[in-house]
Amino acid sequence: MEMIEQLFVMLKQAALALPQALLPAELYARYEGMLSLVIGISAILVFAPATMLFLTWMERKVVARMQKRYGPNRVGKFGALQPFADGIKMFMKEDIIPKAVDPLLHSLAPMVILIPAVMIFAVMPFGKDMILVDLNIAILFIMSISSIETIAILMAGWSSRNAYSLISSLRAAAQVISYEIPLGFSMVAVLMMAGSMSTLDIVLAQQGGWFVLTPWGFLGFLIFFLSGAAEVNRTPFDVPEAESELVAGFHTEYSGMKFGLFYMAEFLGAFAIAAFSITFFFGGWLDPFEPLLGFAILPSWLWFMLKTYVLVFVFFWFRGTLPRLRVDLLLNFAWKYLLPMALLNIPIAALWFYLPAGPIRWVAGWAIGGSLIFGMHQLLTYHRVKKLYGRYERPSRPVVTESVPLKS
Amino acid sequence: MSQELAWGSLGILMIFATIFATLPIAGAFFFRPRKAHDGKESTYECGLHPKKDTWNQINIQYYLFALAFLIFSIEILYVYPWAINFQKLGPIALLEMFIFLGVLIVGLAYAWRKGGLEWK
Amino acid sequence: MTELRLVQENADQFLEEEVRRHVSITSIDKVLDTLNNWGRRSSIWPMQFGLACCAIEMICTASARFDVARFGAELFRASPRQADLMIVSGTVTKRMVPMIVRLYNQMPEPKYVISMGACSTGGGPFKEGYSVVSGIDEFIPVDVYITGCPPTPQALLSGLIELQEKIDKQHYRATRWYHKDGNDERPVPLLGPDLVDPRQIEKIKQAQAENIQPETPAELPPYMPAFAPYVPYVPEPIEEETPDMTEAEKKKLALKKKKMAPPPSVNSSMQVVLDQFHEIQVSTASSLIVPASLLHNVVLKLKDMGLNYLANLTSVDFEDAFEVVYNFTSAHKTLQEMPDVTLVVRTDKLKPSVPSLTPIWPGADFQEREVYDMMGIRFEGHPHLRRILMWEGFEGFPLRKDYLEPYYEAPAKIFPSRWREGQHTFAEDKNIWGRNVKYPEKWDPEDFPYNDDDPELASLGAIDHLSESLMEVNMGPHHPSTHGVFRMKMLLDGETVVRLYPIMGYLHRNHEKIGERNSWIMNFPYTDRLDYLTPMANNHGYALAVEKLAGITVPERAEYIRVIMAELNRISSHLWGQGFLFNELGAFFTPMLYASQEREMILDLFEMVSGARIMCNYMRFGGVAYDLPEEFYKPFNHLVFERLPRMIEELDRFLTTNEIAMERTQGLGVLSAEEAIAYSCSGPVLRSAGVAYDVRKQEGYSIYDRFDFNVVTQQRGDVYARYLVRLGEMYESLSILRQAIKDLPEGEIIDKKQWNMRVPAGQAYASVESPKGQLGYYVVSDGKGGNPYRYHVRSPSFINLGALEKMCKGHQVADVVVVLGSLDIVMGEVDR
Repeated sequence: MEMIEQLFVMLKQAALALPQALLPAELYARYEGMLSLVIGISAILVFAPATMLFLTWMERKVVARMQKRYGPNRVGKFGALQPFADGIKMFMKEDIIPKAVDPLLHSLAPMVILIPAVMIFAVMPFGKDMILVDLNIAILFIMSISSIETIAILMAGWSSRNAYSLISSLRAAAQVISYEIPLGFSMVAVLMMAGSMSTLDIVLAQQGGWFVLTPWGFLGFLIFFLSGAAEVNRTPFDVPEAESELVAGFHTEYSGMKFGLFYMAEFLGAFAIAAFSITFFFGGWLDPFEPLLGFAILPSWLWFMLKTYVLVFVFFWFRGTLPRLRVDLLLNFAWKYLLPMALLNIPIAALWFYLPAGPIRWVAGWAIGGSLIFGMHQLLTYHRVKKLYGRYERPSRPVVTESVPLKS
Repeated sequence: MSQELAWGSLGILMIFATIFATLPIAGAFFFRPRKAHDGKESTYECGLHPKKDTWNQINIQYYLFALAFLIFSIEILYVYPWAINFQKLGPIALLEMFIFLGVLIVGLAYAWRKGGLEWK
Repeated sequence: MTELRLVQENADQFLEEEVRRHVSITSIDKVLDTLNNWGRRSSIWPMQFGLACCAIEMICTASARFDVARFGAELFRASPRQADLMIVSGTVTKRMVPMIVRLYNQMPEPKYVISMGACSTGGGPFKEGYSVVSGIDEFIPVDVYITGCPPTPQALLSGLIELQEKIDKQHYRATRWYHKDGNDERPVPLLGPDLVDPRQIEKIKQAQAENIQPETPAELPPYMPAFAPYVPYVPEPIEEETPDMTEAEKKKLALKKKKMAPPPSVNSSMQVVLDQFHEIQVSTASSLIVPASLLHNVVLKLKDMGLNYLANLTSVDFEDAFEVVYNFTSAHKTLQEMPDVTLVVRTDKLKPSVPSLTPIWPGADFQEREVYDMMGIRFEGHPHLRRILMWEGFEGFPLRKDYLEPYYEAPAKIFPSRWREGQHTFAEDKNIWGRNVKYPEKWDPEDFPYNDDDPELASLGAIDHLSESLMEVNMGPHHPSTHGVFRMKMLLDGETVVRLYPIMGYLHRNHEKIGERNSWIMNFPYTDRLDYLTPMANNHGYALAVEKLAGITVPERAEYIRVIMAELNRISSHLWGQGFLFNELGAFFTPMLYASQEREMILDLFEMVSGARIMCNYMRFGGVAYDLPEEFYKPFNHLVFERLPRMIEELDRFLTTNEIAMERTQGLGVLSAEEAIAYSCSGPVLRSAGVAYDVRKQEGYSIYDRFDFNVVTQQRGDVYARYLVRLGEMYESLSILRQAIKDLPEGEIIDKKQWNMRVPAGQAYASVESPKGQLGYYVVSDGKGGNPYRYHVRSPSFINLGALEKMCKGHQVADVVVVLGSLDIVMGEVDR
């Protein structure tokens, strides 16, 4: 077990063995940190495209299954080679830079969107001892680097000089910055309880119980997850890419590999949001059964992946089933629902902290916190729900009295 | 891991990530066909002949959201340090934070009431 | 010697084949080719681009039963920049060709084209028309042709496999796109007086210089005089038959009697009008001939009487006059309580002009524009009278009898020229330039602007330029959610729609002109292609109109079968509409694919009775073409009694109370009852506004008066109400189906096999309640030829679109597509 747990750490040691044997000891000691960093970075740079390839395949299969279809199944077993075929095709595809565009911004935008999408993996704790950089202000890093996406989308939309791209990028900008606020506030409660901005510390703070089990963690998770979905333009918040009105959104004018990079960044973003939701609220790589059983069932990195993919599946589930919100409803949801809820989360967390530990905290905390959340929800949605129901006479299925006629 | 090293590592990662992002485009540069012509390089407009320029004035509402974002985003930065030290600072700081958030909520309510958060 | 060489060559080929088979990798080229071809063949992303009927089958290919995703080709890309494959699915009209060529040009290499169906391959059934090109391959290169009209989804899949095999054989050094030389840009045709190929401009200039006049064909279509006013008190003296007459005289007399028009029937509504306005006469075809100056007064009088629904507006080109025809009916009362009235206004042939009805009925807007476009009749007082189906700048008025189409051969099908002396020739070969294209004298092909836009629309942005931030956005004709090749031009303030112009005609395939050349029965398959989602209702309406004119009775069993088919079709069409409404809402195909799965079941039944999935061509004058087969009943009963009620309820359960859908559709695109009537809206659009107008109840045509069903109405008139109306109608249709199958009598299915019939002179307007609304057919027969003199379709989709701007103003861009989805238009019917 220990060996599997430490598999990747050992792989890294093995990779370091070669320079250790070749280089003089003094030199090696000086550059060991650097070398191990390079190996870590290479691991991430292998992991990122592999994840993206797998996710594209998974999305197509999952959505196909939800629509009673098979999905890709001609290349490889279960169509597993489909993403590779797509990749090769995009690689060999002509790259068009229309005459009207600003060529520099147009070419830079796909790179600018991909770089932060990769860099965000640096502070992701994949497992025990498996984090590239344990940054003390990791959360600020995540917030700042994920908002670079806005700039890239604006670059892409504006430089394309195309009405659809422009509208879509402006929408995207409005959407991403609006959801950044509830996203930021939803993490305040986590910080209050963990007392640190390091992702590693936040995971370790959940050894006593996942944050999602507490009222503030539960609310925080919902806000974080939904805002995150909006940040990376997943359904039902995929307004910037709304095919039914804006052709292909901000990447209408992109072809070939540049479009491929946008595609990649989108999937990496979705993965990152799922992974950080896990890290902040579902105990990251912690084994939920370890405190009970006293030993680990699965290695930590596998737990991390399992939990993350459950949330990734939820994203695909949304995609397969939900209609899209309209842009004003979307912004209303951010400013007039999620933000007040996120602000409410801070007193709930404070209350939780000041309650005496033990069963009382769980009962009283959930009772008071739950009723506060419910009350706030009622307050914020009362107007809308009253508007929605009634006034329509819903047609009902006529009562069938006759049975199947015998003549057949 | 010291924080200087951490930031240094991030810098190195950024260089690698840039290479990573450039590589596919650069690689495709050698393999992809190049058959540009005027028709291909014209702007897509649902199949119509492109005539209009979209680089003109943009509606004010987009900026309103940007302003609101700016305010709240900075407030978040103020809240975070407090949140980390919340357990050490004690109830007085909590009260102070409530006052701070109260001001924020009043601001939000004002923007809400004034219709600054309406997408038109 | 030659044999030896042949053997030699064969041996070489054999060797090559062997090498290819057993030595997998021979060079770096081979590796590259294998990888490159494998990648390209397994990941063909088609462009989301549908033109006409074939597009429906293309969408079905993506559904669960066929699943194009298996080949990795389900990622339909909306932008040509990311697409590999252009499926030209449907009739290519002249107006659409420039768009298609431009889109093709904008696709990145390597790109492929599949020509799907008869129309895009060679013009198909619409080949000789004035607005259709015969084959897309004159303009862009085609890789794979698929036959069929429309090809089934299986055929499209086989075409895709064919394309994959073609890719497999490609060697990258030999491909077009890796060669620097040669310009791959396809010249974009221009929309001038006709479609102008820039490659032919020299030729045109030469023709202009030499002043070559179009050849006039020897045989012009015959004219017919307008229906004379009926003179009741001085009947034409016809002598009685006497025994001492000769055989020849007797025959002559019989002929004379036959020719004599029957006296017109004057109903109570007509009598009211006749009593008040003494200048009005009744024609022999039972319509009121109104002087142009009186038109507004008469129409207002009709409105007061309760005939408040302008059902149809069209025109006929007679020998002595143009006639504009108006059909009025009541939106609130049945035909028995308030009989309908047909008005005609005659105008002279040199400067035809009629007062416009738009001030009274805004719904007349589009129909008057259509009459102007097709017949050249001016409507005084119309706010923006310009072409609607053809482009601005098109030369000639196609529905006039003296308009000669570019490939005109003879006044009626079947063309004698096709097989003259056993020699098969194509019209285009003899007539490369379309000798009947008239280029105006001053027209200069060199100095010619792109004419995608009507000039008036081009200045749309300048209309109110007070605010600089208004943005002009164009949606369509190639757009993922305009239901085909519809186009909207919008002026946006931020994202709010300030103005919206619907632009149509990109699928105008000269249905009515062809209808005048076809024999009566030949029009049946064409009606299938009007609203290609509801072929049965289309057939039904046409059969009713001609039966009304010819006085044909329909056997009992045939009536029941017709009703069964029409109601099945209503369900299948509504399923499709509901699914697509959710697609517009952004639900990524899931509801649509579930709905289309049920639709497939119904299509199976159609295939069983008629042999075709969506182009059924099933009904005939006086009955239906085939009886229900024995194996029909079992799946039908299963479907109607078990499966469909369950599945529709399931859709209801999951979709109706979806909060996002409710939030987005409630209060959107509201049309009040008065507005809906004024805009001549019909079908679910009208009923959702609270008007219980259903032709099935109002006229009780066919045998609908025997069934017990409700007219489903809603009060709010918004998108959600329309959704609920369609849902309710599916339940009601199921109820009708259950009653019909129980009472289905045995017996004949057709009155009398009528292949080529003559229809007595006269006019008739008959309508049915198609799933989209009131589908009417107006036919005029001259009593002589074997084909209609005038054949007009009152299409509900077209007229419902008139209210689009009204519904969308003040809402957002995202809502426009939802409103459009709730109208449930089909472009084949809009443009005809």
